[in-house]
Amino acid sequence: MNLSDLENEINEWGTGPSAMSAMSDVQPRNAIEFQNLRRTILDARSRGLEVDYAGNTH
Amino acid sequence: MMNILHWMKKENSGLARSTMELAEYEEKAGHKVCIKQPTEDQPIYGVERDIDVHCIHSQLNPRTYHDDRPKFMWMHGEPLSSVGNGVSMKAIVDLAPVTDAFIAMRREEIPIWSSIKRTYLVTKGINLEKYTPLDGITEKLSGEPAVLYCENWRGQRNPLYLCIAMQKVQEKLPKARLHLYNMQDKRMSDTFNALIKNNKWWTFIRSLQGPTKDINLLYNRVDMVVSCLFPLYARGIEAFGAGKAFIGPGYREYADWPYVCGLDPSSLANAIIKCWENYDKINYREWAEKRHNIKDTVEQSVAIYQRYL
Repeated sequence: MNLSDLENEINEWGTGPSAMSAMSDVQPRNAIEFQNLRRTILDARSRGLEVDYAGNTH
Repeated sequence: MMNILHWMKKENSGLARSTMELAEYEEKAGHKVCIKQPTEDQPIYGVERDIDVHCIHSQLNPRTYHDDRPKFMWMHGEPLSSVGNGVSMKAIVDLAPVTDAFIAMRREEIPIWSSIKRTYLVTKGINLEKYTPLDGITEKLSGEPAVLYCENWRGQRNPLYLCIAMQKVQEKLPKARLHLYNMQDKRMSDTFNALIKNNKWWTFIRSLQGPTKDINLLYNRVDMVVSCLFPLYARGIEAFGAGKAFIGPGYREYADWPYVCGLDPSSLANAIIKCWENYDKINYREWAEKRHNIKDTVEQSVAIYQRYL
């Protein structure tokens, strides 16, 4: 695979509220906090609620 | 020649596009490039071997924290949003001690990032071989001017102010038309369809479309691209590469750019009208070549990396 092929794949990748929010994915200092946050977000989404990356539902 | 490792999460975002452009032009400059996701062992591109420099775009795998290789965090996001999303700024600050420096692409952000870590400024460049004028484009979208909005719609990132601005533009330029692209959210679609119907915006809004596969072709079919982002301007400058005007409230770092505007409908409208009335006074492609060439970004950033080797 070359870089052009990879670039063409970008449209198929998922989107998030902010790409920089990916910063939370492997944050070892606060792993439990982020796991809880992630659980909150996934739970809210599964219930059809809109939720931001701080875990607030709207 | 350097071996450069980019840490990036696979996401459909401007961050990923910018990272990929950096990688492509680093390769063209003779460097070896590897791209990895922070949570996976297998690179998504290239080979992880004898890495000289880590470039952090999304996160850094903790395994590399103490490998004695220089580490640079690219600041793709905007500081206020990084605080606002409740996660990014904290993560950036936590990671700062294991990085050697930050690299930012907007002058206005320097005081903020510098308060956390030494921060270098590089040109915000784009791939001018990809975003380029196309010959023989006959199927232009309607409008004089044809105005395009194609940001990543989400939350407050939407074209509401631009739609209001176009009402005012139409009073002066009755043939002006607005084309809304890259809509991917049903609720957003419902909202704007309701606005278009209730406010009779169908008089000037001619498209409400999803993403397009060939964004450069789309740029080539319009006269100007307008963003409602502030205080950043993200990837809207791709329009310059295609030889088209770009107007955005966040685009204000060049003193000689005549179409600076604020994030309010009246100011946006004035900038659109002024730009159309003086459209040929600026060669937008040349503007991109002088100010937004990814080759310059790579040259500048590689020079920064070399100071730390």
